[in-house]
Amino acid sequence: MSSPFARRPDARGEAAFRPALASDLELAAAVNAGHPAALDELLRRHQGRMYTICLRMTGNETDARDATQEAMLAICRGLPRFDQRSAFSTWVYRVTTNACLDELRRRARRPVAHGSADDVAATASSTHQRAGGGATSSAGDDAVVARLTLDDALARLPNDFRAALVLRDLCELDYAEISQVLDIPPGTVRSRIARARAALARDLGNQTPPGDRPTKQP
Amino acid sequence: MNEPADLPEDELVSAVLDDEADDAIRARVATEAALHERLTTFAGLRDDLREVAIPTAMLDTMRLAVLQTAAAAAPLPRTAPAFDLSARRARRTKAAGWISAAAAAVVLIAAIGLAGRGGRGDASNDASMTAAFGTASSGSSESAAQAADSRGNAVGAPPGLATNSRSSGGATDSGAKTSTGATAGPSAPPRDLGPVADLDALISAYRAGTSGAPTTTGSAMGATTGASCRPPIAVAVLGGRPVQLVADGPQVVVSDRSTCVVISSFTP
Repeated sequence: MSSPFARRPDARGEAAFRPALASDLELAAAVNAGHPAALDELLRRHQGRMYTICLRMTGNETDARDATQEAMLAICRGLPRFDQRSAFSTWVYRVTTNACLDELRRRARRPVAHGSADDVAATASSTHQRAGGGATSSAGDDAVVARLTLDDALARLPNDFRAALVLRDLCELDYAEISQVLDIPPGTVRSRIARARAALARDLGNQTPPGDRPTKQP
Repeated sequence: MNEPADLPEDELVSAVLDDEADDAIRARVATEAALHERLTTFAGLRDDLREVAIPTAMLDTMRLAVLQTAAAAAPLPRTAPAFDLSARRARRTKAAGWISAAAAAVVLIAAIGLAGRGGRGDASNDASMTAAFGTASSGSSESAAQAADSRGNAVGAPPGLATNSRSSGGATDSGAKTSTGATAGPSAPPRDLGPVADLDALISAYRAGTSGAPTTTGSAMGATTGASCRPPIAVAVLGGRPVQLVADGPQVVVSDRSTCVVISSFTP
């Protein structure tokens, strides 16, 4: 990748900075060197993923917006303390995850509990989709069992399980990185992700774990 | 920690999906139909989880607002500031100290110079400066009285005259002929007639030392009390009361030295 600093100096004798050409770490260093455009570029690069994390973590757009904004502010404040021991994106995801968990704690203190009928209906009207594999609930249960959407199923997961799954499937962090972000052992990461997936599959209709089915022997 | 092969089957499938499993586990999941089906389910969940409509415009607006908020709350750190404010502040403080010292030195030199002039016998100047510095009490009673004269002159005379009075050491009528007919120098002190018993004795004492009429230096005597506050051509103590004699046209006005109240006048 070419240098984000142009070779020809500008009128002040400084090399012109081109944020679009810089890596995340170069941008982070540029922010600390007094280039405001670098911070804008950093946030612009990661804002989509941050919002996705927040939406999946909180389960609704309003809380996702709040958490995303808090995460952006936290990045602005915390960037001078970024020690570059991990990838910048990992640090961003950690900050975003913590902002989401804070938002979930705030929401837990609100008088109206999440998961009410109105909330489910509102959530179902958004971009939620049915899980892959099809809903296989029995016909008799169709009227009773809510058409659980993915976000609804996610909302039923414990926060720690949901965070591990989101960091894996949305941020594509490996287990070691998730272990750093959540400060838990890698084995716990693996377990939480697997149990979270199993719970989602169960809630969305794929309810039979592999151990209960006959398996074909080779 | 469990060996990978001993893990629950969901963890095996999940590890394969996440590319965190070894070859043995991968082979097992690939060959067991149930595990493979589970793998397909988990992969579908992952794909669904990734499908999120990102509101780019909203996020752009939010980002700009956050940047403004962050900039207002705490300026971004600058390792290479355009201006070293602390150094500038230090230089400014140092310069202010030099200016203060220079100003104090100028004032001190001026005070010493003026005091020296006063010490050569120009009591009027001394009193004037004393009055100017607000320390009239430090002078003698006569000096204080003459300081009052100077103040009165400055108030009653036109601005240019008052300026001349201060700048030339109180000799407002500098260069003018005194009642003696001679040209008085800018620092000529008034003639001291000493104590006299009454007005006749004062006139006699004045006439004894002078010849001819005083030069007109201002308006007629009765027109204004300001004339009686001009620098005197002579001073005396009339019946215990300090008085001064001021030339006012062809006459000499006798007035109280401290209040400039006219007592009498005569023609020399």
